[in-house]
Amino acid sequence: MIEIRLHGLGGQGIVTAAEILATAFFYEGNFAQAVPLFGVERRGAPVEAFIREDKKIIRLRSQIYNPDKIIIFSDHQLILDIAQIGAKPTTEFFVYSDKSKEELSQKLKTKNIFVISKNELEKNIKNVRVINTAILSYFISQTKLASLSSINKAIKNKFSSEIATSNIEATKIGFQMTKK
Amino acid sequence: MKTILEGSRAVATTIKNIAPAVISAYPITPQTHIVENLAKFKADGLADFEYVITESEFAAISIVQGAVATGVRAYTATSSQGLLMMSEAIFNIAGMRLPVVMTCANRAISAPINIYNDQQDALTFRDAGWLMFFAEDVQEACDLHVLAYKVAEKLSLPVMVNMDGFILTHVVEPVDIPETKNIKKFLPPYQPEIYLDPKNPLTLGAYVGPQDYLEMRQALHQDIIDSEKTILEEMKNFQNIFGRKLSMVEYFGPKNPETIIVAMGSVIGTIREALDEFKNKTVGVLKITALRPLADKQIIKLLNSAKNIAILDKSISLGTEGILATEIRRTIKDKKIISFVAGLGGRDIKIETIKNIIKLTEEAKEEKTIFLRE
Repeated sequence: MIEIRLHGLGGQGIVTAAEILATAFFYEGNFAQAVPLFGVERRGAPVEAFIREDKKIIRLRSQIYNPDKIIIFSDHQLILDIAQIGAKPTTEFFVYSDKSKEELSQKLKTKNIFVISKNELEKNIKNVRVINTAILSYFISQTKLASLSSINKAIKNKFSSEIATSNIEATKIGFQMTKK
Repeated sequence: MKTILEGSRAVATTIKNIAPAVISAYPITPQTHIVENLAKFKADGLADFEYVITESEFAAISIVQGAVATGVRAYTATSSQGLLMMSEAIFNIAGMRLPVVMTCANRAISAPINIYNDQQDALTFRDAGWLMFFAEDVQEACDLHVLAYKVAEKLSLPVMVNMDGFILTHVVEPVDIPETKNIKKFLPPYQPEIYLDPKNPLTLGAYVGPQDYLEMRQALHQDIIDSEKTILEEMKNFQNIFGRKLSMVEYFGPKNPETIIVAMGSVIGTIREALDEFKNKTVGVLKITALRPLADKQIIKLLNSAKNIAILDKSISLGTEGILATEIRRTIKDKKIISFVAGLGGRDIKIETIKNIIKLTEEAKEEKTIFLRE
């Protein structure tokens, strides 16, 4: 079983991203579970979501304490502090940030970091509302946990055609971003 | 066909396929997504039901009560304080023998206010005269609603289908939504013999004096006990049509366990996962799907071989013990029963929590109630 934790701020589409990623895993023929860390929804408050992927049925319902992968949608110090709780030495971090890898490495106390360049994404994607799916597509381009077509299929399943189109444009950009 | 959906949307889609004539609800966390989805189905022209927006849960359940009294199928859903606010009508519905089906997205009760999952809301209504089912996962939550309408309409008894708030209402996981075609095979149109009709005036829920009241309560009591037979029959019919098994109680584990953990709802999944992980050969788990009726004989048989019984409750009868513990204690004699109260107000139940339950149960010299923090 692979356990993934998503961290960010309310309004960034963390819960939606979790749903899309789990749906993509399902389209790959695997079992998947996505669940938000339940809270009273507020824009700007810390948000977490959990995703599990496995070849067999997933029965476990607890939160994820020691994730294999952590995706961080905001490099706010508060989020970085929360996100690293329970990380294993092998846990990989994917951080949406314009900070350097060295700086993030210091803050997150690990070298297993993929920086998703905020500058680069924001230069190419004008609609801030689709950044979350661009981050996901970068994540799967590096981890190979799902194909881009599964992510796009999950997006089409979730959104109306207009919103899906702008998300799919974003995933193309995220998927092609170079590793940093 | 297997798809992947949020639990609330899966249940809402199932209800749409069951096609009640009237839905009335008031939104409350964590039930909200269920009724939002149903309202959207109606707004998008995907459903024919009347959707009545109300100013409170009391109005919602009363509208559903009235609708079913006129001889149509109806639906509502709520949680926690909303369920408490419905309480007067909830008891009435059972006494009037109206086959209402409602979902309770289980949540803690105030005060202190808390929006997270436990089962105190539903368990508080175990004496109301409703049949009560608890789902382990999203699939079961959907399937139990289909079963609920069949049993309710056949027996003129209301059914509350419980799914753990957030844990099941907000999870996205694979599910096979019961399709309209199969539902029609399983569930005939609702055609009651007695219903309110201006052309044939009659009174439902009339005044009953001391000479008959006791007998009417006894009849309701007996019908709930006897409902086990119909539920088992309909579970079999359900399996024949949908290909999925439903049980009132189900045991998972070794043949002659020393210890059995008894629980209800989504925590069963975590317990099963924990026992697999421990590669345990002496501990099993008994899942209670039907709290009302409680399948005493089946439970006695399944618990028979164990020395120790651990009962995991997400509720408590304050001043005594976990509510399920009392329920099981009534059926079982000569066994050490330890009542564990855990997961209240959303406290996470982890694999380590299950490990603690096993350890504390096997160590315990006498029966007691343990509040599990971890």
